[in-house]
Amino acid sequence: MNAVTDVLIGAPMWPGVARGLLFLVFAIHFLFVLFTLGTAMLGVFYFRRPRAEGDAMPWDKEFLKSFFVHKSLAIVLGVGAILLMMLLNTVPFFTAVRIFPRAWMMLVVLLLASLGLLEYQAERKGEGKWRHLVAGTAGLVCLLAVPGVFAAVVATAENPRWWVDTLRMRMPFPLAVHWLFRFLHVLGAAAVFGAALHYLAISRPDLGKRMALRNWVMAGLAFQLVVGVALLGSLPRGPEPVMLVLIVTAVGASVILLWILSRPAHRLRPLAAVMLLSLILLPMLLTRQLLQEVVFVPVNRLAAANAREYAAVLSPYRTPAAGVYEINRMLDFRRPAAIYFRSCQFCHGAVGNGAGDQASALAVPPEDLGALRADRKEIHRVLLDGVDGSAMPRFGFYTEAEIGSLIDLLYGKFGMREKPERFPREIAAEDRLDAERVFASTCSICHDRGGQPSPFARGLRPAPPDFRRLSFGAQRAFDVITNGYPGTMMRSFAALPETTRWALVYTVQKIYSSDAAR
Amino acid sequence: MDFPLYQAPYAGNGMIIGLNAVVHVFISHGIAIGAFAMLALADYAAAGSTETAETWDRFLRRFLKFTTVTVSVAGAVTGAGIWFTTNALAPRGIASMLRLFFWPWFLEWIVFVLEVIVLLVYYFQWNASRRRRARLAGFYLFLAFCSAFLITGIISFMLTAGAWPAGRRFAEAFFNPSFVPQLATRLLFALAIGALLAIAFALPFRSDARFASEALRLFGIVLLFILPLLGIALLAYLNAVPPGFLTWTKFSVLTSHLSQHAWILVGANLAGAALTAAVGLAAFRGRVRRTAGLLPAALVFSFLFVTEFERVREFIRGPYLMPGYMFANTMLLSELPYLAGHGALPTSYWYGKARSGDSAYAAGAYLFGVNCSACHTIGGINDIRERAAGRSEDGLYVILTHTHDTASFMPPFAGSERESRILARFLYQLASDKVRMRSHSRLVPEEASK
Repeated sequence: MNAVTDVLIGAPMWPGVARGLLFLVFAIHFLFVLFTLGTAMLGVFYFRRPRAEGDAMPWDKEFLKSFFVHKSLAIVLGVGAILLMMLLNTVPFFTAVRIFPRAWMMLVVLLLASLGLLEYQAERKGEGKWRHLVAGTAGLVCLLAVPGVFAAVVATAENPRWWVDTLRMRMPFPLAVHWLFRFLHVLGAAAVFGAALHYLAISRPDLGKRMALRNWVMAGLAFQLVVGVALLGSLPRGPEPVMLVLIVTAVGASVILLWILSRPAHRLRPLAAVMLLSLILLPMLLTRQLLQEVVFVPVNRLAAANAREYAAVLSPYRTPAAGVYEINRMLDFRRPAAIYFRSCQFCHGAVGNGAGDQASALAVPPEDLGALRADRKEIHRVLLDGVDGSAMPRFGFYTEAEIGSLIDLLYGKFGMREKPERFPREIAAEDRLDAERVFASTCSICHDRGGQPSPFARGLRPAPPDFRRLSFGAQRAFDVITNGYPGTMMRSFAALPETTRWALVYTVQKIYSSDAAR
Repeated sequence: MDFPLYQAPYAGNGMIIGLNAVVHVFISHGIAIGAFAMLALADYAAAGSTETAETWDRFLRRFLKFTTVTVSVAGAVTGAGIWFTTNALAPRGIASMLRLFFWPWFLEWIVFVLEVIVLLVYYFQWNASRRRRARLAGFYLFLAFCSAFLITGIISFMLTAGAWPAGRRFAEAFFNPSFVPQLATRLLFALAIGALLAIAFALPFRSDARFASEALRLFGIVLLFILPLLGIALLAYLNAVPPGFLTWTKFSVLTSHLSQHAWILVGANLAGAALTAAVGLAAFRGRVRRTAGLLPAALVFSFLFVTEFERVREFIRGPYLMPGYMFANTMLLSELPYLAGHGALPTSYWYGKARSGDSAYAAGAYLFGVNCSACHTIGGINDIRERAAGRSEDGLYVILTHTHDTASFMPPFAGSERESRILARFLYQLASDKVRMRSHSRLVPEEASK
């Protein structure tokens, strides 16, 4: 945590307020999560139960009827909790998400699958019972996996000392155990709260269902007490006194609820039930948040201090950066000069002679554009394909029209030509013969007589140009023959007599001209 | 660089965020706003007729069920999915965006909660009086508009930041130049998709010929009314985009495979618009069979249009995630000079912390992760090996140090001179198949073979 870190834009809310809001929003969200999970459990569990006399509809259907509402609210409320979590606990939250990115994104798939399947289950008509059971079970499994992912991410966020190990695919044993109990504790709570909700929602005196749901609540509470002890034991840090008071409150309320429900002729009034359940849920959630804040508050402080420090370091660069942005925003690439200025100039130079700022960094130097002799089609091809073995990129991200206007600019301003100029000197007949001989014995290793690269040279990177389509102005061609082409197989032929070299230039140009004329 | 590296292998981060987002936009615009508006309109318009009242009622019930279930399941989950995907794939970006736009997002969340509650009430109280339904529908549509208003302010900022980069005031960011035209465009294509879906749901009831002609006429008029307005709004929207971004419109859709054939894009869009207008006209004139024949293609086009609209918007803003402040790879503009001096690796907390950094190419792969992996994958979509193939190592180095010049939609390299050489070497070896990845998602290379 010592490196420069965190987001530099200041939080738009005082952390105390955000913490309060997070607790509130999370509590409401979590309540609906419990209703959703519990309802799904009941709906799938009672699937095969035959409809008893006096039932208005099968139990599972009746439970799942309300699923639609619970899950809708659970999801939308959860978004608020995530917003506050991102804002308040930026570094721990995002680090944990980044440690489990696949699982975190898999939530979308799990939620879509589970909600779709359970909705299908709720809508089912009588037939195809087994098919529906499979769909319901699959939906439930996907749904129950969701709190598993959340528990893993939050438990990891709360334990910075295990971040690196967990990232390396070795979730430390204590963290894994803690995660497991935390996950189970959520599932147990879902059974208690889901069953309690439907218990309280029974309007008619339906003793069978009432007893069944009572059993769910009682079994759930007992399960919670056992798993709760294990969860407490698995906490990476012991709880502080305040938290112990809260835990004792929740446990006390659970025991009272158990006691009331266990009496033979119990009659649980809605008000008493809501109060007892609140006394269980709220202290537990408060404990959860306090345990979290013991870790998060110092981490957040450190991150905020780092961010302030980094922002101060960067402040001198802020204004120039804004200026660069402004230029970039207003560049109009319908103007070929803008394309050349941005995409070409750093190599080919402001005047196109190949002497750009970066030219010296390249083994194969950028070409002198004014010396190129090639038709539009060939230039277009080079711009699209680049030149393998050199730095010349592919510019296919410009449209045909933009590339066309750039080619116009190359022909116009930079002196590239389609047709070669008049040959600057007379070539004597014997020099031509000499050149033919040299070409046949030496040049043809790489350049076929017809002008295309020889079979051997086609494998070279960069490959020699195809003289039928691309050539150089006479002086440039003479220079290349004399000095070679750096970074390629083309070596210097300065040892040949000057007249022969000029005759070679003539030979090469003739290939291009005759082909261009054709 | 503040968080452990992760890239969605093969698909790439942008594709994952985009897939989820496009589905969400189609539902949140086309169904939550458009289809619902058509539902309320039809409920209101059907008030007069008595002979077809029964068919109208059956149609409305089925349409309502579809709308409510789709919005509250797929719409809500993909909406949350926007957070899940961006949390995982662009943490620094979304964290910064959230701090700038916390209040609109929080307000939008409250509106969203109310919206779902009102929708559920509407759904379960369908049998209440028509006046009550109309009031609830009006309230719902008002909330849906607020939601679109708030979100569009944030999204349009990412394209045209207005005066924010210099002033850094919230109002400058939110009420930016493309805000109003983009909001109008979104609302209009929402209504157009809604009308298409309404027609699709009315057609199965065509055995009641009277109902069919009433319903098709109603939705046909709506469609024909909206399309020209949508065209105007789109032009206004494109007009608000700065020229430096607008250039990439064609490339963003056609990609390098088709970029030299811009007519395909123009032609396809015009054909789609004509097709949609033809559906509107056929419906308006009560041509049931022709409407039914053209509708599937028009619906497909509407989905493709949403995809295109979002793709263009996301791509042409090019190198910036937050204009003038943060690049698409979540590097800050002001950070580059600092990192050029100090290096990106020494200032990174997480470098070398993912499993084994002992490969000779670990640094290069990490730099690739930090700089390039927001858009480029290794071996998947927008494959960097394809992009780097054939270039010489020194060529790659020069291109790397001028990415932002070569193609102005790419962010500049963030890191020191030495680091750009390390990355160039890695890319060269990668493109020549001399180095392979052990973990694509964490960008860890295999140990180099000599």
